[in-house]
Amino acid sequence: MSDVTIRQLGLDYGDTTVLKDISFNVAEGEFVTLLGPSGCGKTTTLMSIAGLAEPTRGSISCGEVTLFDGAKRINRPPERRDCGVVFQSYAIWPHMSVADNVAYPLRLRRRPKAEIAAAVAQTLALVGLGELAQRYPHELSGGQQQRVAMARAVVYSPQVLLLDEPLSNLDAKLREQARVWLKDIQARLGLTTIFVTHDQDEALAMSDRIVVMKDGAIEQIGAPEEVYREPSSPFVASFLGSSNLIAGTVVGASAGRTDVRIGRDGAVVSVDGPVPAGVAEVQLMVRPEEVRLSGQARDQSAIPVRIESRMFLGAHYRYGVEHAGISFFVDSRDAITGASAYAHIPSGARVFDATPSAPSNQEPVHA
Amino acid sequence: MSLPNDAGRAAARDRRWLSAASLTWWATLAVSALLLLGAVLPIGYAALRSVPLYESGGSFTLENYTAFLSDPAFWTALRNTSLLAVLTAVPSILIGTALAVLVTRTNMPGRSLIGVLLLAPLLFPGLGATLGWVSMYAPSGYISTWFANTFGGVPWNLYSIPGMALVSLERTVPMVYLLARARLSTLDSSIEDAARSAGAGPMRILRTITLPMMRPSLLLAGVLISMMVFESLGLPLLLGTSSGIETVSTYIYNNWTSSADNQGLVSATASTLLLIVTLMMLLRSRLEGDSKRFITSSGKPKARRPLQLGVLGPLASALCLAWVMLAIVMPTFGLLMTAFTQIFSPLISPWEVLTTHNFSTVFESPAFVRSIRNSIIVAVVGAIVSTVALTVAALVAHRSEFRFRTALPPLLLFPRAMPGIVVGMGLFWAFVVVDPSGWVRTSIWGIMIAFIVRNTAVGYAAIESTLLSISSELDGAARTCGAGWLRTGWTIVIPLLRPALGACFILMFVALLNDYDPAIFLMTSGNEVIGLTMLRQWLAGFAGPVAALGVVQMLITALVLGAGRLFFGVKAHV
Repeated sequence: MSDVTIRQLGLDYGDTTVLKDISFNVAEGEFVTLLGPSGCGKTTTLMSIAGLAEPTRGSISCGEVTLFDGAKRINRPPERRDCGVVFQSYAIWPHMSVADNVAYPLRLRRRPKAEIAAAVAQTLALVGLGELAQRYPHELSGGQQQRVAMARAVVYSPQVLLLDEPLSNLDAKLREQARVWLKDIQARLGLTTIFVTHDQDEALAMSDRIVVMKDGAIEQIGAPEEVYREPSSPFVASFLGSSNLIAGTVVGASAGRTDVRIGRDGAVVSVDGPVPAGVAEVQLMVRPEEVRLSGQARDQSAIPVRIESRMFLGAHYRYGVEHAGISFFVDSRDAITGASAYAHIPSGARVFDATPSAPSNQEPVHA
Repeated sequence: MSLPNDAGRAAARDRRWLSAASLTWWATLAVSALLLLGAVLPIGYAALRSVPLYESGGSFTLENYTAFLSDPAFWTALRNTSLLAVLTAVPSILIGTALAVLVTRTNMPGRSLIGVLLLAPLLFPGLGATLGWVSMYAPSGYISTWFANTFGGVPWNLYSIPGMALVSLERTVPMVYLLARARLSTLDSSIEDAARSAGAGPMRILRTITLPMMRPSLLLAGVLISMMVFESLGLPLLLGTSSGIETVSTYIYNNWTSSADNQGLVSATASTLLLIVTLMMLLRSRLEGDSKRFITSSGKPKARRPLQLGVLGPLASALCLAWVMLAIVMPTFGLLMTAFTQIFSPLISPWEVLTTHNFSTVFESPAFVRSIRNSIIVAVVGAIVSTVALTVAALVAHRSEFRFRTALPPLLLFPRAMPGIVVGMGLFWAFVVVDPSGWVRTSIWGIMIAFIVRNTAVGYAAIESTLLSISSELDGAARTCGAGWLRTGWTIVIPLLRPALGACFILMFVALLNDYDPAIFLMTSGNEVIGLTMLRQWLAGFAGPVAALGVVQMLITALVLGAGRLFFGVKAHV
């Protein structure tokens, strides 16, 4: 296996740009997830690595080998890239048995018969399908088909494993089991893996690093904890987990701290981190579980809120609250009765520039 | 972990496969272009030359065009053809649509049986069915004679333009029926329910909702029928000759056969006919694209609630059955009786003149036997060759990285716009130029090539529709596993295409067995085919043997289609 490096990869489809010159790299043995809403270019990126989509410019290399280079007009055909791919539809060949599906890549490589049989048996045992080798795909459940696809992709020890939403066709319970199982196999084989998903839970649970994509560009790259706790933009903040984006104005800054007034005429909260000079309108990003809600004000940072709604979600309640005309959510384990309460916004809340005329109001003001 | 040695070997093998793959791509494009252009270019060239292509000398000239454009007979023929197209299209659309609505959208008694019977004519292409109509409805036909004896006169005349239109219905009504039925099946019946809950009665729903939604497919049917009429040669030749009615295609045929000096004029007229039909095909593509605007599908199909006809139901069934009886059963019966009697007339009981004489005539004549044998060879070999070639072409067109792959489908589908006589004449000139010895031109292989070119669209459509429904992730998976393009095609896509390949073979077999007009310019003694032998014999006035040949043709067709249905689930219509 080897590392994968993607440099300035761009893809135009007619007049629309599907990939906007993105760059990232995947270290040897690393599990990297491409995460984003549908149409963000994550599958296109994956298929460009596999050789099934042709980028317009940039380069892709795997170890020492250049798979694609727009400038040098290099474009290795998919069969010479040595990537193992698990497709969203699994793409199990319906006219071949499970064992034949898994043996196919080895037969192409002209391995001796005995070696093929041994490798197929070993790989099917690894994915827990040893008993079903002679079955045909239509006799398998969705979860079993997904395992066959996985076995076929890893049986020839490819340089890179590419997974295109392999869990999206499974039902919720099976998906959680498959997550653990998939991560376990990847770790055991130590394969360099690129995983595509639109499911934030999968991305957070499985990845070493996450590449968050939007509209063909990369929004943020980082470890799951980093991306979750320190999102670089309101988009990342709202795509991973739930978050409140509270509009406010800067009323003062000193010694790396910023005072923000909520709404037009609300209370002032003080948060860590500076804002560039001249930025007046901002968004405060804070997750519902980070806000504390209490019946009484505990300290000066508490702001009075009116409770608009209350939902019981099992582990906790989710309150919809309002302050100075701005609504946001707060999670709390406590059942608070009454129409008003106090919210404590932590000083670790992040501040994003929200100046309307700014070329991109998604720019983080501190990183 | 892969060994470097192993990987190096795989890479070397792949490079070889890669070049073999691109060789296949270029060869496919070259052959397709050659066959299509081979049929078109020589006509254009011959039309612009002052002497026939096989003579030396001559110069470029527009005289051939001025010759036929100043010939009043051509304009009469064009007027006749246009009139025939309208007289065929309007009743076909009315009858075909009415039948489709009754069968698919109402609770008419016996609708499923009627639905099956309506498609029967598609099982019997070729001249046999036309002969069946003539045996019943021509002035001396069985039903006409009976009608005249009973009522003192016959209000119809088959040897006229309306008469030809009447016989054309036999082929065009099932076509409209199929198009309308397909359209109706994509219409969500909840749009009718919505009108009903808004207070509309069944007849009003039909008039204001269902029929307007079908408009694009009915227009499309009109264009397709006009194309068929302009292409058709056998029917106007057989029915129009005696009363001196010429259409564009018989104008071409008559000029070709009457004198050897007319070849420039014939080519010029043929190129004009090709232009007319091509324009119709462009219109057709436009209409097909347009019809997407009318798609209403909304998720899963719902159970249909048929319109309640009430007391009108049995009346509708009776009308449908009358159509089946008069337009399908009677002509088929007429063909059988013509084949099995000495004379088929209401004046003599047919049971007294039963005979197998016509069949013995056929099987004792070397020319007839040869034409049956040749037709079967052409159909079998041609169907195999074209299935293989069209499979490769479809894979190149839809599953390769070939730069010019998008050029292939139009090349393969264009021949459906080419009238049979135009294909035949074009290839005649091409063979004259390429093969001066005349061996290909006078062998059955020349005819086979002409028939294949004319019918590629039939087989290609069968393969293409299935290929497009096979997820490209399946071959993507094989490619990423390390299989080259050729091996992916051979081990993954072709096995999955197997039912479609069976369908392609069967449909091509039937088309090649029954086709005849492309062979008109290529036939000499020795390379006769059934269809053309029938046409010649009929023009010479021998109806009995023609009917016997028609029965033979029909039997082989039914046998092969039956086998296709059994083994591959092939339908006679795609």
